[in-house]
Amino acid sequence: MSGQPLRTILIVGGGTAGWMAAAAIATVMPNIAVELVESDEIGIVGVGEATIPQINLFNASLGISDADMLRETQATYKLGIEFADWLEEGHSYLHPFGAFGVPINGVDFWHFWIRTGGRVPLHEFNANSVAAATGRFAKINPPPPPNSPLAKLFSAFHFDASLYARLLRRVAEARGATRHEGRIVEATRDAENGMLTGVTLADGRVLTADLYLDCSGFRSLLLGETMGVGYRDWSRWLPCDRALAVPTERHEEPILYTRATARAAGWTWRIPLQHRTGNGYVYSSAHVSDDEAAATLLAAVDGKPLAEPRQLRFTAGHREEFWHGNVIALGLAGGFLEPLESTSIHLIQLVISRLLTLMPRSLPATGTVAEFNRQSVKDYEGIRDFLLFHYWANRRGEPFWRERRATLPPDQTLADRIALFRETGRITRENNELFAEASWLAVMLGQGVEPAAYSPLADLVPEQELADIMAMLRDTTAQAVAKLPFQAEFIRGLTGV
Amino acid sequence: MPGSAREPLGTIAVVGDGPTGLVAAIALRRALPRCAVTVIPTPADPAALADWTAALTPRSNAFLRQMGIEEGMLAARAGASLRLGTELAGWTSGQSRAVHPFGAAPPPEIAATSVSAALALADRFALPSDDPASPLSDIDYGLRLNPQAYTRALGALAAHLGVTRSPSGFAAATGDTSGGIAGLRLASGEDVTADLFVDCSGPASLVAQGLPSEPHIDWSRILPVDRLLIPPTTGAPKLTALDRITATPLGWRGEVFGRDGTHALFAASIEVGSPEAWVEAAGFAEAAVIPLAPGRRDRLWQANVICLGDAGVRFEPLHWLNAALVHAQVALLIELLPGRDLHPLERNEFNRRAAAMADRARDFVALHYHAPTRPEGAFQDYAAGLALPDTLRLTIDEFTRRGRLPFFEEDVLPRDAWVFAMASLGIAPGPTARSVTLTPAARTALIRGHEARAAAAVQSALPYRDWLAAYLQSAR
Ligand SMILES: Cc1cc2nc3c(=O)[nH]c(=O)nc-3n(C[C@H](O)[C@H](O)[C@H](O)COP(=O)(O)OP(=O)(O)OC[C@H]3O[C@@H](n4cnc5c(N)ncnc54)[C@H](O)[C@@H]3O)c2cc1C
Repeated sequence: MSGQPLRTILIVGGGTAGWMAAAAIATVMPNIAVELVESDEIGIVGVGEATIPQINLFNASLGISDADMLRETQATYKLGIEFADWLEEGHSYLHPFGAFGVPINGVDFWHFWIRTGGRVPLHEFNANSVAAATGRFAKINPPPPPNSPLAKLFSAFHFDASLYARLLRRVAEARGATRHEGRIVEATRDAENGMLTGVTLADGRVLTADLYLDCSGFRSLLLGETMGVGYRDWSRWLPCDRALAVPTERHEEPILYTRATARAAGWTWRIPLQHRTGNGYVYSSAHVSDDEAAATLLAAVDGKPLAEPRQLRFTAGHREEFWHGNVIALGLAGGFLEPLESTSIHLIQLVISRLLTLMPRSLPATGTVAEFNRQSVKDYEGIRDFLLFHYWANRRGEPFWRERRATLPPDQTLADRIALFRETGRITRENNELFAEASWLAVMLGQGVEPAAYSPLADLVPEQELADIMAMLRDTTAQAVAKLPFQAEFIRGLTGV
Repeated sequence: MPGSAREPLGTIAVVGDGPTGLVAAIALRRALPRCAVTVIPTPADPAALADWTAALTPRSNAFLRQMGIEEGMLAARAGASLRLGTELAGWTSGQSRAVHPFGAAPPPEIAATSVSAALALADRFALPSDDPASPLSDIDYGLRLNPQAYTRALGALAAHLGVTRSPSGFAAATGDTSGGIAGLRLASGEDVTADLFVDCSGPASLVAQGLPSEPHIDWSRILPVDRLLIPPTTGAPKLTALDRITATPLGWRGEVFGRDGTHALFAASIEVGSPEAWVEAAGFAEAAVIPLAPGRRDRLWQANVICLGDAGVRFEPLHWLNAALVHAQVALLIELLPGRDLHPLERNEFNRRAAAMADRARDFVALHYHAPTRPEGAFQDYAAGLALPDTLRLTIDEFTRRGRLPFFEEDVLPRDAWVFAMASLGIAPGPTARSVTLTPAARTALIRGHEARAAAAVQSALPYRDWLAAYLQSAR
């Protein structure tokens, strides 16, 4: 094999992306030297506070416990996302993690639920929804048996992004990663092969490595600016291009879910943490002025603002390649999809695990790079379709929302998925798509798409037997959740405060 | 919620009364007890490989059980015996011998004999255990059957479940105006209509012939075999847990060692040798030469016709995957079972997933022609010069570069089967993150632990012959 063996990695940027990568590589590949450069002067975006359950795998692989998270990042548990006013004003539904009911005779539960006319609300068959509604939660140790309703209670975290980066930094440094503080003023490329040769800091230091991870945020310093990789702009489909973020004082016990509320030209988030509440308004600047947006946000928050609203600007989409030459982008340097389903941190995690499995022994590695880019684009497209669906299925009256009803993705996949569900009650999942059947089910029903039919096999269970099974599932779920402590008690138990 | 019952399928006509048609009829009837399922006989076609290959893979065990086709019944009435895998002779050099077992592969960081292979090499057998702590949880087995007896047993079970068998055979299919089939004409002159037609008539695909013609996907530039020699089942039973596939310079010979004798076949290419030379290389006294056109229909479900077995997918029976593929596709059909209104998007979903299954089985077979070393032989040279599908290229590349097997949706082969196939072909895994950091001491400990596990399994197992005798005793 040609080329030098890979021995050193330089990570540019110390936000969530940079420190996640540093901690993971330092843990899994102790024979690779990891260095990270960040600039305190520039700082990090500092938003990005809601996650999905896969974060638990990441933390576990680094040896970070729940107690660490709760103590050091002001974290709370998250069981799903409430979508308020999305379908229309006054309407609300929860997209919980975890499955609804259990398959009966190999047929997915929701077919039976459709058969019974949806008389009992579907969320009563979902442990996350019941727990979120009652405020009760615990992670049970040892894990409950697979047939317990609590075996399907899946949680993620809300956390303070700056504190999480700090926690990861400690982990990474303890495992040998080296940190440099300084602002990069220049990055240079080899005139012949185009590979990145090094970065120069404002004080004149030069840093070099075999492989560079661009975690520099929206600026995409290495991949975009230096390597010149273009951007696939999706704002035609996802026009929100600005956000205002404002933390507020906490005024109630933290609830167990993120809230996303539709507004005239976008939506606001509300993320409950232990020490404060995170809020923000994601909006389309073509549809509302910054001042109006700020007024909307400040009128919506339920606590005293702790700072002035801070503005962020972005364009939905991604870099045409995530890996080019010896540069790989993670986090905002690679692309941006609005945080409606809290997917950005998960995308960082995906790139890290993809890098760890595909890590070449030397560079260049053309085949690996092509495969890496192909898989990464698929991830983005899958999430884009899911986000677009939330927008497409709405009945709101504002111009922004009326336009969304006319906007489906460039290919046929989503349209087919909706039609198949509408007409047969079936939900398809291609390959290892991030959002599983239960997620599509929750959001399709929540956004008012109703199935006209269900699997013919669901008719084979006699009516009384089905009624008994459904009553049993609902009761056991309610009873199991009722035995859990309230979240605050559980957190106190783990942190000892 | 306005969800209303879909009018279920009222009538299904299954064309073809071999194992493929009968298994499909049994599965459909079980899923839809109120649906009238009729099996329409077609002339037995020796080229219908999914019907006549005498061996199955472990994947079929659970499927058959779910369909109520009990293993004990197959042992008592269909000549069933159990196999632990296959021996590959002569695939990496003239003298090479390798075992491709079923069950779990040892940790990828160590090249070690799996528990199934250890049992097979000791000519012993035991049933798998559900207890992960037991070394017997690493093993798995497949069934061998006598095809004629199996067909009779399935026929009896189908009749018992209320599947109707048409007394008169198939004569012709008539198209309708919307690109589907309007009905079938039987030999008796009687006409049959149905909501859904399942074509299990073998490569002749008698029902699909009545559809507007569709492009076929040709695999003859990927898979070398286009001729099969099939001799009568011969010899005294040879009681062993391993079947055998032997590479020769003119093709490969497959032998399934059934309780009823050896089911042999020889697979060759028209590009290499002649019928006389094949018979000699195969060591057969006499054999019928059967043509095989490898490939598949683009859409396995078109309008109101679903093609199963050789009517839809044709490929050489290396590792006898043909019936295994049918079982996977029938299970998929049951999962996506339509109502009387055949929904085009359900059909698309079936076609997407059923095609993925077929293509992956093809890749698994094709892999065997791309070992890094191959024996001398015109057939091997010809096969190695054929095209490597991109999906297979990626699989080999990822495996040899970093010991990883990329995920493919709907793979009919479990991951371990790919690992075993690579090993039996001398394709070594590249270093993984784990293997690089493994210390010599840890590696030794892993190997020791694994060897102890295999030895304990061999200890607790019975000689194959004794085990089989006891098993048959209890099946009766
Ligand atoms: C409004 C909004 C809401 C979001 N909400 C969520 C959410 O709920 N859930 C979720 O998963 N994600 C969310 N995200 C995304 C999430 O914030 C990011 O994915 C995550 O914070 C990762 O950011 P980063 O590390 O890529 O970039 P940053 O945090 O911007 O880090 C960039 C780093 O690069 C350094 N740097 C830049 N230029 C230089 C230079 N010249 N020299 C040296 N260092 C340099 C900076 O100092 C900094 O350390 C949200 C994003 C936005 C905009």
